[in-house]
Amino acid sequence: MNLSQFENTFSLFNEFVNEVLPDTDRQWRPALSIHDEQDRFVIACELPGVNVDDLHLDVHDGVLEISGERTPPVTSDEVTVRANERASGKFRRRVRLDDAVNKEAIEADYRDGVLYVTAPRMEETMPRRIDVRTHSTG
Amino acid sequence: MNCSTRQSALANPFAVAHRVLERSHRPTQSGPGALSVIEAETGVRFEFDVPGFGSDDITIDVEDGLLVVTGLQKDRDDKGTEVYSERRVGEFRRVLRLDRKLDPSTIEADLKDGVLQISVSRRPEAERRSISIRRPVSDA
Repeated sequence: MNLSQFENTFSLFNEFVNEVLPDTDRQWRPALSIHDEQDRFVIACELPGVNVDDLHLDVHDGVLEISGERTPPVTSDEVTVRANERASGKFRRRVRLDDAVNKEAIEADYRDGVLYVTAPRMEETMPRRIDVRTHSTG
Repeated sequence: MNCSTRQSALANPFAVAHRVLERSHRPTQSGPGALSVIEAETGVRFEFDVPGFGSDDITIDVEDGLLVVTGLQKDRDDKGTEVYSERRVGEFRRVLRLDRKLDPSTIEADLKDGVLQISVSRRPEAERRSISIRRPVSDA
């Protein structure tokens, strides 16, 4: 796990760190990443081969929870799994969202087996350029 | 090169033995290219976890009974600054030796929801042929 300090002019005053919470009680721990795209955060979770009906996304008490289940390859008398490196079963990943995140406006897309959760920043925390007014004396 | 998995064809009369030969860019188990091997009487299906890979990012080659699957994510769609990441580097290479019972010309590949499925059918059973010995022609 590496928690890299991101370069941002706000970082001196605020740590916009979304904290990834520990999860040890599930069979599969899908890989997660968090990116700061200036006006929003994108949390990407690798969930290949998951049925959208088995995928749940909740926000509660400031915690984003991605949970669900991936079914293992089907077996029968005629079909056997000869080797398997891919985890399956229940999964749950949780991220404690920072106060800068607008929790009401969270959206999610599932594309090519990756779940992208987009969480925009609260309006007042958006990067703003401040104009310097010049005055002429005389 | 390390031959990691050795499957015995004797254990299951329908088993089609093959070997997973090479694994690179895979520091631990469940990175991109993680594999399931599913066998049936009709053939074998390989399933690879390739989250975030498009069909343009994957190459599948077969030569002399070797199936080589390579993936390279050209356009990792991570914009902005990385705050935290467990996601591994977006590339992998898997080499599998296909058992002779499999017919490489029947390979089919599908990519859906970040899972690459490659299926290979068994060859039809070779027919037995009886060969009779020619009688020498003698002139007498």
